[in-house]
Amino acid sequence: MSNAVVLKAGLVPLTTLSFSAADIDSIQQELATKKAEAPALFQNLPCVLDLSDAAQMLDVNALHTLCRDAGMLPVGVRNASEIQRQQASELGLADLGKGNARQAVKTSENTATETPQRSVKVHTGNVRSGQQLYTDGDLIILGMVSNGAEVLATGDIHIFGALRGRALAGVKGDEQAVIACQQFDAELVSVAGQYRLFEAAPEDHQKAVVISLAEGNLNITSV
Amino acid sequence: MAKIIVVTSGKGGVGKTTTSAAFSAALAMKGHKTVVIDFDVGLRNLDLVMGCERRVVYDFVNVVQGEASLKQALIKDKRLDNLFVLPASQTRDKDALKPEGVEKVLNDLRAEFDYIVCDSPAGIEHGAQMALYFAEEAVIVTNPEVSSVRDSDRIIGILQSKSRLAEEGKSVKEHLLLTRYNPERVERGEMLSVQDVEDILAIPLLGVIPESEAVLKASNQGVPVVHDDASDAGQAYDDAVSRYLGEDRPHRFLEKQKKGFLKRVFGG
Repeated sequence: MSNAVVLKAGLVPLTTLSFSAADIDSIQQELATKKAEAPALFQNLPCVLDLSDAAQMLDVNALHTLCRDAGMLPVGVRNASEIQRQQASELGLADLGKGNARQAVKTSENTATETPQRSVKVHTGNVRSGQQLYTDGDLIILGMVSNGAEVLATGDIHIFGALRGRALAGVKGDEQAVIACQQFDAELVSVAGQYRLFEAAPEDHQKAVVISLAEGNLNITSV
Repeated sequence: MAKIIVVTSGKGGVGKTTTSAAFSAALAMKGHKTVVIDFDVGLRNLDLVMGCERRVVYDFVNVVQGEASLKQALIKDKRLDNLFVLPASQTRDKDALKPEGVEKVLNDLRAEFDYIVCDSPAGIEHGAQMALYFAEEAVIVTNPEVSSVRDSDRIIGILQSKSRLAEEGKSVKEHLLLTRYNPERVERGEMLSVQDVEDILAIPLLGVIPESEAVLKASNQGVPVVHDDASDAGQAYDDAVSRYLGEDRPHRFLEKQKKGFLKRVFGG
């Protein structure tokens, strides 16, 4: 078999241990208290040792033993000094280079607490046959969408003109997304992956409509 | 400084070459020094419609590639003193047209002429893109038929995104020319109406050319149809060019012709 081994790239979340004290004893104590709080969490927990700042002088062998005793499985080191890197390599730990794990976590927490901002793109003019318009956010078209043209948005689509081509709203799964147009004569409309083709002229032909998704059904309402 | 006009459509066989010939001849008849260039390299036709096929020595590709001078390649129309034809090459293909070469030829022509009419090949590939790239105005030739209308829509999209003016953030001025229009068939619902086409393409209407026997006759004789001023198509082209030049002329040939008394009695 040619595919006995397959190489795949992937991102696996790993716990990072960082140290603010430079002596092994206080680290051991603190680790013991933390383990007492949540023993299950520490059981066979793969972790990375961040050796920046205060931890630059620490002995990797000692840290390794300490972690193993606490039930964790160190798999690599970051921000290691020259000597620490050598120790790590003897222990079979991976060198994960330099980087700031703490900061990355902080920024991602910040963005998570803020309400996500929706961007709006305004397109002035007609979207002609063969043209495709995509936007991450809402899309407002001041013009028409011709037969054979396609407009896509992760949010809503508003067309101030005729829709004769294809319009796909909520392409990343937003079920609240809507499509609105002044004159409805679409080839296809889709909200969050639910689509409908119009082989014959749709019932609300030529009227202004709003298309939304409710319980998995596409509703076309004239306004 | 000359104005560069491209005659284009996307679809083939709708009347681009007929229109290029009639349009340039009408411009010249109205006193403007005009040159018409055939961009359809490999499928040279304009020279036939203009009736100068036996006078082609050098062609557009020769000039673009520096093998001949413009003076050698330009053919003076035998009827109109201020009309010139730059024929395409029949033996080369469209890749022979390089943007730098085309630009140089157009720049050289600009100094001498009032209007440069570019007869585009069908399609949306290199040849058609070369024809429209330097254009300032475009005459979109469309038949009242769905596939032609869709292809015109496509070519308008290309004009709005891939022409030089579009790249500079400006826009090419578009004119719709509806050709092969037959009011009787429109009435019977077999053909799209002017209104339908205007609705779909949403560009200003320059003129409507009726379906006419005079067009085929003119092409075969090598005389641009505007010279046939008794024909409906010839008059319609004359109207369209007058409108293009700013004259206010009502649209004609949109309604079914009522048969006269004699025709009704004797059949016509």
